[in-house]
Amino acid sequence: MDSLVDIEITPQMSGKKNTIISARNVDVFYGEKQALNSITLDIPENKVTSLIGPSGCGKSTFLRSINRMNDLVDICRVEGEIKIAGQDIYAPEVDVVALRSQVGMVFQKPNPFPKSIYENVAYGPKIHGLTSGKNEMEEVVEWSLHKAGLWEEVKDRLQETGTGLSGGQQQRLCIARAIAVKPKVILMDEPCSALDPIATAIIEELIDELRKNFTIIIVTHSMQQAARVSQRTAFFHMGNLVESGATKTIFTSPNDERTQNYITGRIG
Amino acid sequence: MEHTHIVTRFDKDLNEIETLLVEMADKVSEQIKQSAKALQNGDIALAEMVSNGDSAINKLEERIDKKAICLIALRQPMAEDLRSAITTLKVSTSLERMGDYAKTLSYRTRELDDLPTMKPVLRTISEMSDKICMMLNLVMEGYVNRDLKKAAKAREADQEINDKTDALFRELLTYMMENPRNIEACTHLLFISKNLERSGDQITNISEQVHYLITGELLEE
Repeated sequence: MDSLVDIEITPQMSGKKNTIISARNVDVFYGEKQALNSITLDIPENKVTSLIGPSGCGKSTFLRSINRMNDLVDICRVEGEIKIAGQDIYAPEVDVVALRSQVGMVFQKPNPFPKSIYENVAYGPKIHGLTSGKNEMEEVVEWSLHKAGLWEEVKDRLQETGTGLSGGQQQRLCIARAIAVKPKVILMDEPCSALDPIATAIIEELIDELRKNFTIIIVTHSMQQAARVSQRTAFFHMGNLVESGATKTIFTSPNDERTQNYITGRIG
Repeated sequence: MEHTHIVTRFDKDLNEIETLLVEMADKVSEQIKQSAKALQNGDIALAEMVSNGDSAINKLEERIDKKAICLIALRQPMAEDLRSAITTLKVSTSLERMGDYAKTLSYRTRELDDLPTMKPVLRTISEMSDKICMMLNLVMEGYVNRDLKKAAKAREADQEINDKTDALFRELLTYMMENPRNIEACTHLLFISKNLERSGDQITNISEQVHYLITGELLEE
């Protein structure tokens, strides 16, 4: 794995075995308003972790803290510690561009660049200087499209524009773009909310395949989706992490009444 | 459940299924009571009535299962709701089996009509069926009120039924050895006691299911 600064880091350097991301007492503020209260959570490597909770509970804020997307918001302030593979990502020496090459992100609405399918995927490796020639770049593009389950559908039209694909294909193109730089972690912010059930099923199948190589954190409003795709689930409520654990436990017998009320659709 | 669902129809669906299950348990309890009474009094007409009454229980099971399957498909229940749906499916199956045992008891009552009567055995069988009805009421109270203690009490009481079955077996053996003409009647009574013992086991299953419903933990056999 590439380091965020100059030191070589490995997952074993983080606290718990197989933990790739460890958040400790993370507070996030938007101006005066506190959006997250002392979040402490370990994310295991090569697993899918879903973040669930009502709108405004802080799950997306937490997700965006993991690749420092919140830096783009002027009034946002993050306190506490988030380590990825043992490296504190908020340390002053961390290069945010290098960080984001290791922590890819897929958004709610597919947002391919208005460029060809090939260029969409090649963009990341190109700006990060990860390939050393045309042939290598072609290999990376093909590998990424294969991994994203899109290769067979687009191999004969790589020069066509990415925005001409269907919604589901565009989302898979965005996933191919995210994995082209070989990140360790992929963050997904409601990746299927704009897709039909078939395109959703294809993405869910893909997520399961991708977790062999990547650690995935997904924010979703669909309880069924969280139950289907993730091995771990964390429930957020009003800026607090209420409960986290094995998905099958959370969805069959959660500990906290707030979790129970939320996932069963009750007025709490 | 303290809090109501945002989708009120969901609460209504769950309540409907639970109400039907309680109705089914009441019917099963009545069937057991009446079948034991028919045996005790040699009342063939009553035994006939019990036999005919079983189809109502089967229909209730079908209704409950259809509603629970529909709830799972349409509402995709989670956590306690999911456990509730699964519990109704499993409990309805246990109750249906208990209904079948009562029906078999009635059939054997008719068969016993022309055979020698064994008063002390009938008394023990009557005690066992009373106990079964008490245990069933207890476990269903545990179900309705989400009361772990009541469910556990019903489960613990099963030991008494097992002990009575063993005692009855020994007693019937002596009657059979005493006089071979008793064998046919004793065999019927042996099956009856076995069916009551199986009813006790079904109550244990229901009790374990209620434990799962309340705690989310599966009890080991």
